Formats: sequence, structure tokens, C-alpha cells
Amino acid sequence: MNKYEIKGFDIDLYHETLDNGLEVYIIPKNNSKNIYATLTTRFSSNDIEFIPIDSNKFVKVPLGIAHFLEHQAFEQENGKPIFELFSEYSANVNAATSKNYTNYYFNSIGNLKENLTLLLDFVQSPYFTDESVEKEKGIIIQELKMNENNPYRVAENIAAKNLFVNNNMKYPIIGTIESINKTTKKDLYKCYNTFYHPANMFLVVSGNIDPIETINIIKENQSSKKFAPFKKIIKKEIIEPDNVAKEKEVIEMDISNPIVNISYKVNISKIKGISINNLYRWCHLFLAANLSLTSELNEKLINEGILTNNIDYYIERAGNHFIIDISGETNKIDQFIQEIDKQLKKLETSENDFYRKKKCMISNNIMGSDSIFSLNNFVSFQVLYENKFDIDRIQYIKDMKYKTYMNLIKKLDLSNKTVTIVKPKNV
Amino acid sequence: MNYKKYEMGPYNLHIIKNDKFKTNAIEIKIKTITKNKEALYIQLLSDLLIKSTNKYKNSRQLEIASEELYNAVYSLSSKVSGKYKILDLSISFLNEKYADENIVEDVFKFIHEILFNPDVHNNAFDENRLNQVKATLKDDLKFNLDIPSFLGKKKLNNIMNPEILDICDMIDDIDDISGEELYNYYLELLKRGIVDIFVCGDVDENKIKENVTKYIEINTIKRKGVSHYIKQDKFRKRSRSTIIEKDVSQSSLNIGYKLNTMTNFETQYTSYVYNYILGSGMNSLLFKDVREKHSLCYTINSTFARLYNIMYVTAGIDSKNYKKTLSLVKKNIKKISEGKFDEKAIEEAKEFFKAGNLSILDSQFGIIGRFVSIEYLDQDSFDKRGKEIDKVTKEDVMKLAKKIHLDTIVLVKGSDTSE
Repeated sequence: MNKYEIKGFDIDLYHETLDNGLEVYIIPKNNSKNIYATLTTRFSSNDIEFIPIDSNKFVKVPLGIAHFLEHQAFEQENGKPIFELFSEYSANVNAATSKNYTNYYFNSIGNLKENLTLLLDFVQSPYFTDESVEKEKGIIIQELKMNENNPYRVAENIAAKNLFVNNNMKYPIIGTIESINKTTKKDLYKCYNTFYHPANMFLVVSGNIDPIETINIIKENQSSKKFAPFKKIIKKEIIEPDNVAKEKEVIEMDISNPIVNISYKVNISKIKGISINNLYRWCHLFLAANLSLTSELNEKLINEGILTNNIDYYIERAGNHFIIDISGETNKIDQFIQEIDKQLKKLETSENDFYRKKKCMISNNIMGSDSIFSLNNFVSFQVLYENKFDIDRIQYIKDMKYKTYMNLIKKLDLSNKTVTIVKPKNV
Repeated sequence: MNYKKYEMGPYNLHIIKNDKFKTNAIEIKIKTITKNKEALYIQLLSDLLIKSTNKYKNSRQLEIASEELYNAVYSLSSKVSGKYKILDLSISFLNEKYADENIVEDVFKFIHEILFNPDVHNNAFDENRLNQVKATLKDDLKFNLDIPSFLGKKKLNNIMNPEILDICDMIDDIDDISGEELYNYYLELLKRGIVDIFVCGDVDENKIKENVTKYIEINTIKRKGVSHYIKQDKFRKRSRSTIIEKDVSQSSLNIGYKLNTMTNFETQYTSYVYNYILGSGMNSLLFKDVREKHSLCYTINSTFARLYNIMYVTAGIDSKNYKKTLSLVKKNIKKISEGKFDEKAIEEAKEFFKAGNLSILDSQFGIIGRFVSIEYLDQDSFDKRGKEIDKVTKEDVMKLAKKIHLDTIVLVKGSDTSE
């Protein structure tokens, strides 16, 4: 097991790759009370066409299957619900599926061995039956309907559908009522056997733990299990053009204020010499400088009554593209879109803003290191996107020069976007 | 962790010293009992005072100032705590080791600017700024009311406790409030409100006291407050139900229960155990029966509004399953009052409670929150809570169950009737 110091955090990080391929990261923080563990597989809602482990032909599985599988992973052969087993050790357990990964996690006070073993055991012992699959459909459909009640979620799904031509990110994570109803036990096992191999997963444990004790628990557990040799997963190659599938869509819902979502599709494969996580960071700074509460634009939109609340924004990774997603509630829809578009396309950040935001970025990193949840996320996201952890990111941020930053930002191509408008229904 | 309370006359200062965090946290609470439109005043003040100050003329400048303080994270909000409404300023910032030696005083200057140096001309808040805040508030309230679960719960409260004013019902009054009227209320609030200042972190007590004296400009001595708790005294013999139609995909079922006044022990401990068994998590009766066994929902929860002696059960369902869900909820509630539940759940609830009690120690605002409950709600300390919970028995849970009376059911009915 290798030990690294995360510089500027006063925190150590331990790493080991087990014989079965599972990557383990351990972050002890002994002045915390909590323990937090996340077990992540590189299997997401995007993965619907691939060669299964026991075959050499491509198969297509129903939409939303990664999410369905996440629900079904909680089914156990002995019939005792997983939630109950974790409850015996006062742990909260849950899982999440995204367009980039699926993960399972628990947090607890103490009971490291019991909970960690439970986590590894339940994720690594699938038990799907026709009955359990049928039963889950009703629950998942209710989850889908819950999402449909939220206008922001609805706008997000429409934007995704219109942004992508080929990329499976165009589909909702949860799938559709039709695809949920179509999902079978066989589909689930096919996905499980292919994507839940330890060599396609990583485990991050943070909090009030001893690193040696932790790795020993994990090793003992893993060495007692047999896994088929890992076969490199072949997913259907998708070439996504830079243009969007549809530039605008307007829908109506039973709401009071119109919601506008502007999504830019930015090709990042042409921006060389920088890691995806670092590029993400500087793009985020660019958006913060131009759209956050400290931006002149936000102030202007509020003063002119175009917006009543601040602008919302985030960036999502989508293969060779970054998706810059901006939304707001406004009655002056066209003006809002024009103002945002005009501002971003200037590709500007003042030197003052850059250095101030950079200082904030460093502060945020230090503040985040107080939380075992943030620390766990720091590590997980870097491992997910880059297969390694940057132990000296604070120095990297400190060293970033305005000129270098501006050179990067000037390369962003914001010419492709889709606009989604959710309007109140006329009664 | 070392806690000290200083009764300083116009306010109480609570210092919770510990060296576990890289940040310090400050929370200033000004509480008062509100009548009529006053709840709306406090809401508007919480929105307005962070839009501009005498020194920082807009929220942009204010935000830049906070970024200069190593990105101090601040918020001003209006909170409800039983009979009281609270204007609450929270700020978290890197401590001296990670920022600089002036950070504590600089943060107090910043707080002073927000709370005591407002953007006022001729004894009135600026009307333009106020209009922006009003527009935002109206939009936010409308947005909330568009969400079926929020709408359902609000309607439930309206029916169960019509005397408790909800600012959602005051949307039409918002425009009538002038900058002068609001400023007068602000002055009155500083005079009348009961003020508590909580500081948590690796701080020098003398330095904090000095800064508080210098920057917290409140001089009027306050009388002691009253209990925050609201008792229920009108119980229905037969429950009442209401249906609101809304064009949404999923219906929202909201069930409200009134309780005979809980004892302090029940409020702090027994109700936690009861709720754990009934519907607070994935190991609860409702989750296992309504969701896992009958696949009727994705979310189902029970929650206690302890200060009001009220319990809610909420679920997102298809409206065609309304009666079935309701009867399953009733069945499970009855089970508890008859003692027909696994006693192991009581022990698990206790362990979860203790874990949660310790877990709070990982968050500075969590720690402050506990001391607020001790100060405001007559609750027990961390240590005592860890022990008292063990005293809850099955009989206690069944006794509490008998205090719970079904009162009102609200279904926000969506367009989900197709089979």
C-alpha cells in the first residue's frame, strides 16, 4: 500500500490495487467521528450497447438498466433486506446512478469491519429473480413520475435529448416507462457480469479509520471470493458530432414562472496539454467569473428585472464534450438568452476576477478537506475521470497564471447550443 | 470541546471552543414572536439586508467582499421555530492558520455591515432594491406552490392550524409593504428581539468578546422569552380529507396527525424511536410495506414537527392507489399502538440516535444547532442525550402512539389515472 500526503490538507491518502483489480483508496481522518465508504463501478446509464463478458457480439440492453440494476443490487438471496442488515450496525446505506458511474455507499459511526464487509458482499453477490424484477418496476416508475413533477428535471432531460445526436447521454438516466417495463432478469445479469468486475470498480474509504486495519478487512474479504478473469470491456464506439440535434424546444407544464435552460456543447478534444479535471476547474472559474453573484451580468439581469433569482450553472462531462448548462426563471426569455450568449461568447475574465476566484478555489479545497464526504468525492471524481489522484492540486491552482488561463478559455467554442423553455400552461 | 455562555445583557454569547476544524463558524439569531404581517417583514429583511449595505451598494460588491475574506460562506435567512420567527445570520470562514491573523475581526466587520449598517436613506430602505426582493420572494413562493408535495403540506397546515400564519398565504400583501414600514420594523426587531450569538471553532475567547462588543450594536436589555412549543387542543372525532387537482404526473398524499402534548422526554427521545419504527428510513414499517411489498411508491416518510405536536406521513403515489396506500398507512400506525412490531427496531433506533448524536460533532453548524436546542428548547446536552435514549421502552412507544390522532388528509391529485 502506498502512502501520499495530500499537500495543504494535512491529510494522507493510501492507495493499493488488489490482485483482483479493485482499486482501493483510504483517507484516514481521525478527528472525525464518521466513516464513509463509496464503491463505484464504471457503469452508467450511457452503457447500453457493449460486448458482454461471456460473448463476442454486441448486445443492446433497455434504457435505464444501470439504474434498474442499482435498485436490484439491494435484493439478497436470503431475503433479508440490505437496509435491515446495515441498520443493525447503525449505518445509512444508499446508491446512485449517473451518466458516468454507479456507486454504493454507507456512512456510520464505528462498525467499520461489519459495514465494509456488508457493502462489498451485497454489491458482489447479485440475486435477481423474475419476481424481484417485476416488483421493482412499480417503484421505479413512481421515481420517474416524481422526476416528471419537477420542471427543472424535465428541462434537463429535454436539453439532453436535444444536445446529442449519437451519445447515449441523450437518454434519461432512469429510462422510460416502456424500457423499465421491458427490463428482464437476464438483461440485468448480463450487465452485472460485465461491469461489476472488481477490475472495473474502485473503493474509497474515508473518516475515522486505521488504514492498515481497513486494507486488511478489504483484502480478507476480497481474497475469499472468486472472480472470472477480467476481460477489457468493449462498448459500442460512438462518434458524437459538435452540432446539436435540435436547437430549441418549448413545452408547457402546470407551473407559474417560465424556466429557461441553455446548454452549450463544447468540444474539448481539441484543447491539448491539460487534464480533463483541470480543464473542468478552469471552465468552472470562467463561468463563475461571468455568471455568478459577483458577475456584472448577474447584477444587470436582476436590476433590469430579467431575472428575479440568480443564474444557475454547472458543467457536465460528455466524452469529447463539456456541457455547460445554464438556467433561470424569467418572463423575458429572449433577452435572457441573448444576454447570456453575448456575455459568454466574449470569452473574457478580468485579471482581478481570475486571481480572486483562484483564491476562493484554494479556500474551498481547504474547507472541503474538513469533511470526509468532500474528501471522498475529491478522490472518487479524479479516479473516475483520470485513474489517478492529484496530491498537490493546491500548488497547481496557485501556479496557474492569468495568461495561461486566458489561452485555455479562448479555445472554448460556444457556437453549438440548445435552448429549452418550460412555459406555464394556459388555463 | 469547551462550551461557555456569557450573559451580556443585550445578548447572550455562546462560545464553543474546539480545534477540530480548519474553519470557524458564527451564527447570530434574533428571535421574536410575530403577529400579522410581521413574519413577512422578517422574510423580506432576510432577503434585503444581503442585497446591499451602506458600504457595499449591491449584492455583487457584498459577494466580492466575502470572497476577499477567503471565500467566507454566509447566509441570512428567516426561520420558524414554533411560536418564534428567527432572523438568522450564519457565516463560516477559514481560521487564522489558513487565512490571516485579521480574519476574525474582518468577519465581524462584515457581519456588522450586513446587520447594522443597512442601505437606508431618509429612514427607509431603498424602494427599488425592495421591489427586486419582493419580486424574487413572490416567484419563490409560487415556485414552491407548484411542487405538489409542498402544496399538499401547506394545505394540510392551513386546515390543521389555521391560526398559524404561513407567508405563502400573504403573497398578496407583499406589494403593500413600503421601505419605510420595513425599516421601522427592522429598528423595532433590533430593540425587541432576543439575540443569541454562537461562535464555534479554534478561537480566542477574549478576542471574540472584544469583537462582539465592538461590532454587535445592540444595547437594549431583553426579558426572558417564552416556550417555543405549540400545544394542540382541538382534536377531530372524524378525520377530514381534501383533494386538490393539479396537472402533474404523480399525486402527492399528505396525512396530518395531531398529538396530545408530548413530554420533554417524548419530544427528544420517544418520538425519535417511534418515527424510526414507522417511517423515517428504509428499515421502517412504511418503507417495507408500502414501497417494498406493495410497490405503490418510490418515496414514503413520516416526520415529526415536534414543536407543533404534529406528525406527517407523505408519499408520492398514483392517485388510483390513494385508498390502498391510506389503509396501509393506517394499518401500520395501528400496529405500533398495539405493540405489534419487532422490538429489535427499538434497539436499532437507539443506536442510530447515538450515532447521529456523535455524527453532529463533525459539523460546526451541527454543533451550534445542538447548543441552540439546549438554549431555546430546553433539550439535553450531547452526553446526556447519548444516555437518556437508552431509557425508552416499548411501553413508552405504545403510550406515545396513543397520543397520535389522525386529523387531515390532503391528496394533490395528478393526471395519473390511466392504468
